[in-house]
Amino acid sequence: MLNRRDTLKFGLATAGASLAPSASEAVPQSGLVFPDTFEPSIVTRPSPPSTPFVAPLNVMPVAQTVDPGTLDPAPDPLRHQRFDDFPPNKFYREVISEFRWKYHPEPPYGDGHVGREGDPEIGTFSWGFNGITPGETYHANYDEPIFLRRENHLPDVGEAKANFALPSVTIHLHNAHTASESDGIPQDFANPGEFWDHHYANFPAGFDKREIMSTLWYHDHRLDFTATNVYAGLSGFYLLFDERDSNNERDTNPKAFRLPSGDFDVPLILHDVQFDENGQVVWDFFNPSPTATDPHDVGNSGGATNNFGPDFGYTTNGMIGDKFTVNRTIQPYFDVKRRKYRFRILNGGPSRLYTLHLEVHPKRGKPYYDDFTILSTDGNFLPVPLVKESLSLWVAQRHDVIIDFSKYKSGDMVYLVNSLEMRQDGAGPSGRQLEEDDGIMQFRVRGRKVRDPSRVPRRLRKLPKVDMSEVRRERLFVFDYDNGLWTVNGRLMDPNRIDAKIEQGSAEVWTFRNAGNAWAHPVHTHFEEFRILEVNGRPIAEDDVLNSRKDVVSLGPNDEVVFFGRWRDFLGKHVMHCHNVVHEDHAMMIRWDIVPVGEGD
Amino acid sequence: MTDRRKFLTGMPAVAALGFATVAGSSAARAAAEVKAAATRRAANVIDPKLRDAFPSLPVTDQDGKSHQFYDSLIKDKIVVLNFMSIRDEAQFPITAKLSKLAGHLGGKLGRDVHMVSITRDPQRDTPENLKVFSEKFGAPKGWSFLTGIHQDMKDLSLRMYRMGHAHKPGRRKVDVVFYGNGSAGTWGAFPVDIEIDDMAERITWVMPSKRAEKMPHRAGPRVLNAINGSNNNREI
Repeated sequence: MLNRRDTLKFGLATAGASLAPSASEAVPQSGLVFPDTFEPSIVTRPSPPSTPFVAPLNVMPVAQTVDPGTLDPAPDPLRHQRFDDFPPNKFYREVISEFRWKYHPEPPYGDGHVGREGDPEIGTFSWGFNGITPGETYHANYDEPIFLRRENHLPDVGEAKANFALPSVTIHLHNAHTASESDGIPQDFANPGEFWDHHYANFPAGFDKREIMSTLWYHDHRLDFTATNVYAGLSGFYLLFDERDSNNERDTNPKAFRLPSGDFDVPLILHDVQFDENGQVVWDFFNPSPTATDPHDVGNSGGATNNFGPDFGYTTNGMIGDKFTVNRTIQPYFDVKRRKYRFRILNGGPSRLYTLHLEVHPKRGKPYYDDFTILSTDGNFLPVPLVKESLSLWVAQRHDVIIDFSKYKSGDMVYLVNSLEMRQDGAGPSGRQLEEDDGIMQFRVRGRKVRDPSRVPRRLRKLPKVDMSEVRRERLFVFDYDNGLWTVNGRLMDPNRIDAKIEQGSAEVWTFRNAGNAWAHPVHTHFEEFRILEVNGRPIAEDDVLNSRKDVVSLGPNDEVVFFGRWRDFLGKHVMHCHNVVHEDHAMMIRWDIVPVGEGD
Repeated sequence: MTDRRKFLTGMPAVAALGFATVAGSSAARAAAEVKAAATRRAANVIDPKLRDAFPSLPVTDQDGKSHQFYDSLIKDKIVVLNFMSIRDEAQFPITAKLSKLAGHLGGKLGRDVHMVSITRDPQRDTPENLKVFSEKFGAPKGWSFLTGIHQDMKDLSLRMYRMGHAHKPGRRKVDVVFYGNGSAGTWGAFPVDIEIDDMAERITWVMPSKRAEKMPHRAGPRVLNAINGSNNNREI
């Protein structure tokens, strides 16, 4: 096991080096856009200390329906595409507001309590849904359309305490097969005092059962303010179930997967967050007024010095926090029974990328690394479960995994750890593996082995066919950096400019190319999953997690990724963008529309 | 294993506190949050403390008037902020574009909104040259063109984006304009290429709004367009 660790370490270090050559070796410092001497607040002003693994894991409650008669005004079918094809039979209401949330029980974060427990005047100002962050977890079923009203009760600009964010929201359901007006595109925002209605039809793309999805999430997508609004707390899970992934580990239907369900199916959302000395969440932009210092060289091009310190910049590169949170709790612990669990692990951003491992610390004996059994990527089941020693998790990506705690003993500790080092400005990986892993969360194995009715099936979901004869056209998108900003094909986002007109029902082949050699982009396109055909000219191996349906491309330095996608069932506006949400806001995003046949470009 | 992970040091022996997620139903939580949000809004006053983070550097405008950057031009104002130079305008006409925005804002400029253009080229862009330049674009009152010493201009641009490589003319192909609420400390950025009415709309996003009296008020979707069966998104 010790050798394995060394193998792992060296193997990844080599891979890392080829992924992004260390900047100091590749180019002289004076040519760097972000010199290594640039020090963001994560370095100059670390968050107050907090003891790891003393905060219990926050498990979000499941959202419950409301009586549709209580929605005033009533839902209006004339405002939704295909409303009558998919009449909703479940109605929900979400109130978005500002409140104080305790990320940790210790001061200055908390008062011995976490979340909304304890003194309501203690905790950091956060935004959330129905009084909690992350919001309630939706349990939705295929063929059961949902109607959801989201009301914005946030304070106005100038009154909101989380003042780095904009109290105007549009909540995107990532990556639902949903009409434009219900998708939560950046333009469809609701200001304080307004509501927006969402109609989720919950049917698979093209009515093809192979297109069924499972782990979705919802988050803010506000034009110019996505990064800050999600960071303030606006994220949550939306889980879709069907006959096979039936949310019942005791299901007697022979087609059912019988994956761990109920208390043993736990969504985990990872956000890295930065706090000030009072335990308030900070965004890099909002910091105390800089004070004048002696001019000092920070490695800027042309030798321009900085006369102000600590050195804060309005961040266009990314935002890295020094506190790892899971379900908006700093480094939590979770008591687990000795049986199988399904964890749905999501990187909620804003900018950090992870390589996750399981590190086992037996009560007696030496620590070692263990494997994940991976069921899905980006919320889409793989053809077969894959056993892997690590998970690559870029922003907005999801992996459902099985961890079987029955093989450990009571008193053993299992840690979810990260080994990927990020550039401190958040623009991408540093190209190095961490010397010491970051501890994300702790599983405490407790008690005797228990009866476990759940299973891991040998086969999961078949992939839809890629039929190249359906392809109407190809498109190339180049992701680059220009003038402190992030461009797609040399341009910034304009919501009134259509960058691609895609004909309804057609397929296209898209190429994403990263023209940068020192930054990374998790690129997401809305509405339908796609199939990656090639990464840097190589096809995808069968036992690769990329051999799946995807909705986020990991576009590393100089990478080129080609995929096949289809656009079916609805018309209207959507977007494709970098999910390093700071890049998205500055303004690495395009608008594409699904248009009737014959009107495409 | 000698190199036990660092994160394990300082592991507490104390039993952790119990944690219950919020009790009750979704409907009850939603109702409680409506009430709580209203109470908090009523009790909320704008924090009088400094809520921004700009250096208050000495700058000079096109009329030769001196200002402390933060105190005179940002604090308590709705601000549209960009970086430019007279030499760069030929290759990247950002001032020409913003002059259209100024025209669109009309009487609001100088009253509700203030425009601030900071030169990247203070050696050439003296107050006198900026005066001529601003008159060429018919810059009305409420639009300041600022210059100062080289280092201070660099500090202001480094405050907004860390770009060292695009100060020379002709190097810029894209840019953003920053817009913010100086008293709230809320800032966004829009690309220069967007339409003028979209720019004007975005500036209103950081202004305190007149809240609808009766909750809730529908933002959307709009009623479907009968012609093409879509286009019911918010109109912006």
